[in-house]
Parts: sequence; structure tokens; C-alpha cells
Amino acid sequence: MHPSRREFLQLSGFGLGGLLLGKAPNLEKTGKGMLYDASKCVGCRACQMACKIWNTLPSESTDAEGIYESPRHLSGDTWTMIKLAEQGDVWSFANYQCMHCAQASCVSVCPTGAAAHTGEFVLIDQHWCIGCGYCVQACPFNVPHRSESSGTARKCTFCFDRASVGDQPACADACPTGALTWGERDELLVKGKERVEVLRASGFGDAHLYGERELGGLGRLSVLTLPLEAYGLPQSPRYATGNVALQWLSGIVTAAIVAVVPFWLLQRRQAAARRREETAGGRER
Amino acid sequence: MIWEWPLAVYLWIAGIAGGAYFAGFMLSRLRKGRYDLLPKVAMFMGVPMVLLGSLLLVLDLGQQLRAWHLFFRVQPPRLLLLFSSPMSVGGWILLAYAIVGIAMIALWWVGSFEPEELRLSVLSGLGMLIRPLAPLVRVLSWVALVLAVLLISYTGVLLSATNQALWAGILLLPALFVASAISTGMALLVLIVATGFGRVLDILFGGEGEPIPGEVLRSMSRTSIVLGILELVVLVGFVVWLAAFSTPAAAAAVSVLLTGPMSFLFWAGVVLIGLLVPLALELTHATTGREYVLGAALVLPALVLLGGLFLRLVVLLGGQVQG
Repeated sequence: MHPSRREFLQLSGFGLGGLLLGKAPNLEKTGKGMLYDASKCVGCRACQMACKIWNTLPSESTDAEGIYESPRHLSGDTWTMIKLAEQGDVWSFANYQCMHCAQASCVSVCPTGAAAHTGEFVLIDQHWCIGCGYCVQACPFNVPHRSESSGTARKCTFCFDRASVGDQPACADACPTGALTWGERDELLVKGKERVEVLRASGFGDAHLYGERELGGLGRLSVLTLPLEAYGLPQSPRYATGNVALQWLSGIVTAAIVAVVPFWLLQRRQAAARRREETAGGRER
Repeated sequence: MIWEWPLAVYLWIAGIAGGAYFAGFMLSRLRKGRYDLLPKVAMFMGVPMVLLGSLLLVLDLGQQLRAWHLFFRVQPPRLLLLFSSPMSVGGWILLAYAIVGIAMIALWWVGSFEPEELRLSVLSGLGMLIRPLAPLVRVLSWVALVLAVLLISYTGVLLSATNQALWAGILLLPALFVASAISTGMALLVLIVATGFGRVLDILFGGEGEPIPGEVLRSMSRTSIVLGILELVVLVGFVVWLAAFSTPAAAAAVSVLLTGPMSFLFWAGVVLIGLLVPLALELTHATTGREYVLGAALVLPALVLLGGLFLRLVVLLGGQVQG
């Protein structure tokens, strides 16, 4: 739960150095990670089911909207889902879950410290979360959501209860095509880049790897075959508290301007006018 | 939509509370002796408003009984105010503001008695105990000013430290909320001193309860005009910047206000009722130079206060509509 000594030094160094720039802590993403390969995904939703079963999440009632996605969005009760990415006639599936960012906005805005980095995972402590919804507003990937049943914010945990004993997350375990792979992030990075080369050589000109550097490195790397927009993923995801110091300054400077313009200037003019009146009155008398 | 209208009401009344103290403090400092009642009125109204607002915040939580978690488990690197969660910082500001406000009210109250009188008053034991601290109120009034500025800035920073395009797109949201907070705070002061309530409070704090001179009201309304113009400028800057010079997502988000589902509340509520109508009436009034009639003195600040609520609603709810 507590930051390591190295993290602490990095954070405090950044705190002093980047006081006005408000840069995000530059933690290196290491350890375990997930690689998703959209070119191997057949959209069977085994990952979605396995996640529900392992985490004992209730089903959701959905409407038939004539689209492959069901449900349409992640929620407090759905932590992994298959999205459909379309570009013209070309389409691709996309497994969607928490990215486990190195610079996680949910962690930086959480007022109770319930959302925190624990090694390679970003977890929300269900006993400390007060359900304020700040992480829901702050996440650049729209991942955490408040669950009606628990009143707390919930999301994918990378199945830390499995992974911490050497097993792999339920979704990766269930994937029948090898589209979801669990392993050391360094190795997955190499593997993902190789895969992109292979795809490009075989006619997928838009193939690229997402997650290597975004927000200090995502815990989830994705080999995608369509341009990023088709998946609804941000080109440069924003760290929610990245410029929070400047935002504070914006409010404080405005208060200073208001103190000077309407109050100080106006009152001084009126006081002067009153003095003139009084001296004029004195002369008359 | 996860942040519903109670949060907008909270942002509104926290803004009024902080803004009223800011305006009252400025006036009482700049024109010594003429406006001493105003900071007292601001605190007397502001403390209950801040407490009510905090209650609304707690009610909006998914786990209300865990609200105390806000004040525990502060992690070492997060002690730096500027890099902590704005909501966490805000919780501390609210707490400090309420405590300082209550202390100031108590000290003003004991300061209004002669020592012999105090012995005969209600709560005389407590009064005698804190009476030696009465001079502290000068220091506290400056502390409260700093807290008030932080409080009204925080209502904007809270929203801007997210990934919603309307709130996070530019740096002007805290500026807009600060301008509106001071404007609505000033309106609250006008509303109270123009009615008998101001005289009641004056008596409570040891004054004679004499009617507020028309000249004071006139001067306050002049100040309100400039405040309204400033807020209008910031609002135009906010909207134009998002629509024209920001990201496509921000332009889509601001179109929710200008032409989308929030457009009626925005144009009719925020722009017309909250800004243009009060400004036009005030300006007409100032140029004709007629004596202040009570009706106008009540309607204008009421419109400004309503406009402040509409602004919070439009920004809070509109920011969560996917544009």
C-alpha cells in the first residue's frame, strides 16, 4: 500500500522540481502485464464471462441494440468486455478493461487513498472507497464505475488474487485464441512489436502497438489493426491532475484581479469623491 | 451520470459562502468603519451554508457512512497541497473554514459586550472563557480570507482535475467559478443588508440596528455591476476558447451548452437571468441615479443568485453529457 523508497524519492523530487509545471510522477512500468492482440481475437467473449465468474459479478440486463457489444459499456459490474471497432467496412474486436497505467489518474484524484498502485496493479480498496465518483470522472479510458450494489467504484483488478500466487488473470486463462497473454511486461513489449511487424508485412498497414509510453506506460499493451480512433482510445491520454497547480493558480489570480478591479479601484474613487464633497461643503459653511 | 444536481447545489452555496466573505472583507478593509457588518453577515450566513454543502456532498457518496475516510490515511508524498487530490484538499478547506468561521462568530459576539454585561448573557461561562482571545479575530479574519479564496477556487479545480472535456479543456473553469462566487456572494450581502435581517444581525453583533444608509447600498450595487461584467468576460472567454481554440472533444462538449440539451438553461438561465438582466437593470439604475427602491434591491441580487445556481447546474450536468 505504501510507496517504495525509490518511488517516494522520485515523487518528492518531482514535487519540488515540477511545482508549477505540475508534471506527473515518472514511474517506470515494470513487472507483469497483459498483451492483447486484436488480430487474434474472434470476439467470443470468453474473457467477459470468465471475468464475471471469477469475480462473482452479477449479469446486467441489456437491450437489443442491433450491435455486437453487450453490454455497451464497462460498469461497476462489468470489468472486461468486447468492443466492436469499425472503420468503414473494416471491423475489429477489442477487448476492453483497465489499462493499469503507471500515471493513473484514479490514484491521483482519489481523496481517501483507496485507489492505489500495488506493484504492477492499480487497485481500488473496497473497504476504503467512499464512492465519491472522482475516479469515474478522472479516468482517461472511462474504466472505473460506481457499482449500485456496493456503492463503491470498481474495475478490473488484473485478478490480483490469482496473479499474486503465480496464476494468470481469468480472462487470459479463458482466451481460446491466445489474443490475451499474461507475462513479464518487458517480454510482452518485444512480442507485441514483433507482431506489429508481421501484421504490417502481411497487409495490415495500420497495425500498431498501444500502451508502451502512454501515461508512463500502460500495464496493458494492445496490438491494434485499425487506427486508434476506431477503438475510441485517446491518442494522448491526459493525466487528470497534470496541470492542477495551474488550475489552482487560475482561481487565485482571478480572486486577486477581482480584489483590485471592482473593490480597490472603485472604493478608492468613491472615497476620493466623498472627500471632495466634504471639503466643498466645508468651504460653503 | 455520476455527479447529480446536489453537487451543483453544493458548488453553488460553497461559492456564495466564500464569495460573500471575500466581498465583505474587501469592503470593510477598503472603507474602514462603513462596512464592518459585512464580514460578520458573510460568516453568519456562510458557516451554515458550508455545513449544509458538506452534508450534500456526503449524501452524494456511494458509501455515506465512510465519509470520515476523507481525513485519514494521508500518504506522505500527497501532503503537498497542490498535488493531492483536489477533493481531499477541499475536504480540509471546508473543515478549516467552518472551524475558523465559528471561532470568528463567537469572538465577534463576546467582543460586542462590556465585561459586566457578558456575565448576564446566555452562555456567559463560555463567553468569559474566550473573551481574552477576542483580539485574535483580526488574525482570523485574514486566515478566513485565504481560506475563502481557496474554497471558491476549489469548486472549479475539483471539476477541472478530471478527463471531462468541458471541465478539463482549459484553465478558465476555476476563474469562472471564482468570478461567479464573488458575484453571488456580493448579491447575498446586498440581499441581507437591504432587508431587515441585516439590522437584526447588526444588533446581534452589538450594533444599534440602524437602517443601512442608501449610499452604502448604492456603492455595493456599483461594485456588483463591475463584478457582473467581469464574470461575463470570463464566461465568454471560457466558451469561445473551448469552442474555437481547443480540442474537437472540447468543442463538442461546449456545444452541449450552446446548442445541445443544456442550451435553454444556459442561454435563458445563466446568460439572461443571471447576467444580462441584472446588469441592464443595475446600469439603468446607476445612470438615472434614482433612489434605491426595495423591490429592485431584492430582485436584482435574487436574479444573480439564481444565475449562479444555473451556471453550476449547466457546467456540472453538461460536462457529463457525451457531446
